[in-house]
Amino acid sequence: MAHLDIPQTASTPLISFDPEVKKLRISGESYPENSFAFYAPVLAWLKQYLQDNRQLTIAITITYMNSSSTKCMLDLLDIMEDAYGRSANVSITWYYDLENPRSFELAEEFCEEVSFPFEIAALNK
Amino acid sequence: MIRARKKTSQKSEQSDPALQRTAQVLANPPEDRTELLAEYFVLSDSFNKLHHQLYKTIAISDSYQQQLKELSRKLEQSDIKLRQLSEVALPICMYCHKIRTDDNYWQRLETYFSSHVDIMFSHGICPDCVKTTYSKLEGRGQPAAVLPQLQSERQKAAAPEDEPLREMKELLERISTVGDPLTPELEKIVSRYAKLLRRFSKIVTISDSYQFQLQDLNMRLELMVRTDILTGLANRMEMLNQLEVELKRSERHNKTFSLILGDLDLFKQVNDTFGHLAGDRVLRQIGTQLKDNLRSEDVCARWGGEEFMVLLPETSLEQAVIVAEKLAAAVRGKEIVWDTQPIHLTMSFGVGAFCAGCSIDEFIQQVDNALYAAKNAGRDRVVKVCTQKQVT
Repeated sequence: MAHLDIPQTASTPLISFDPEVKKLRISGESYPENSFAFYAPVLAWLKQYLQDNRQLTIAITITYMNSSSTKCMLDLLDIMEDAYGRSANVSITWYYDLENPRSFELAEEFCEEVSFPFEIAALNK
Repeated sequence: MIRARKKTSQKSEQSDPALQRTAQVLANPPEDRTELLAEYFVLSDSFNKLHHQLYKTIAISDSYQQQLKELSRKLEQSDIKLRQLSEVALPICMYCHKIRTDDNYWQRLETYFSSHVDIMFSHGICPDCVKTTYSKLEGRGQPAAVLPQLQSERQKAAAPEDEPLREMKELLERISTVGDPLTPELEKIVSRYAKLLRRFSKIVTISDSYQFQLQDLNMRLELMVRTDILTGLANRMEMLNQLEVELKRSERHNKTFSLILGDLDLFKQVNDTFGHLAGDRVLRQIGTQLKDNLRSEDVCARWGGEEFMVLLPETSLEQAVIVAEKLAAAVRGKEIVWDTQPIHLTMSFGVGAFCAGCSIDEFIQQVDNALYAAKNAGRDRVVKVCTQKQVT
């Protein structure tokens, strides 16, 4: 399984997989110049990883994302949902900023799109 | 207690095997020189190890002490914050749940905010006041700001439906009743289309929300840049911008405008007597007092220190003098209470009307000279600019 470890930049989030705990971390802000190019390898990795219905938890802490990143994030949820449909053990923990009232509502927007376990948790600073 | 500690430390020294061995060698020194050298080597080796350990221990302790030091510094800061916070904690009555207004509560809260501007930025100004202040900043000469509006309560949107989707659904119903073999195919297409449509509207909703947050932050930043945080009035930069706008407007419409420069008399005494927090309170209240006595189209700014500037669009010198007299009376009649003590102040004013051909800088200089004259003439008065060498 290919390694997935993308360092954080000002406009792109950290994306890093820990195979020991089967956890994918996505954190930071997301407004790359070309979101589709940025997320293509991530989505490809995810598809391949979930092919054999392996277990995966994604922890997402994104404070800002642009429209195309939103599209990619929804595509990511779709891939997870497909795997869940094949009875893979997948889940998401979405961290929201307690001080930002919109942050929680945004998490709900994403949560509505899926039927697998999707936890909305407050971010401890 | 001290003796006991000394005892244990002596004990540990005595129990060092290298020292014990040396003691034995010294008590009964060997004849052979090589043997003695070997003993010496063992001793120096042990010394080296101890030496190394000592420095290692020092380094480790130093780093712990450093951490302790930082921790204690942080604790100290937190303690200060906590004490300040406990002073401004909302005094809510346990029985009726109303906020008590006694005990100078608001004064303490105001003081707290003025010394913690960071809190002011994130929480101190509520979204509604940010919007109102921001709209007021924009108002003049420019189109009013279009502020983003989002539903305050998020509602789970119904599945979106457009004309093509409705048509396709109708078609699907029709062909499925006649048992068309294409029915499953069309069903698939219709559901894919519906999903795409839902996805599209979801992305729009999410992006709108992020954009709203950006807009809100932007508004706060702009407010910070253009207003004087202490008084909430326009700041010097903003006043200069407004002066430029007014200058162009007056040239275009051939109408004059006036400027009032006011300076609190003997303000330093307030700071010296009551402290600078009292001074801040005075500045805030005087700012409000001035603003309340002006028209909505006038611009009132904190020009610097205890100096305030008022821009009066489409106003002649005579009218501006009347306004300045009104402001002088308002300040004179204002009583500001600090720690139950009343503070009374007066203000001196310079007033001028803009003359075509003059630069903004020259104009301000003239008004400033008039203010200087008011101060020299004994304060608490209004002096107008004498442009045509007229004696006022």
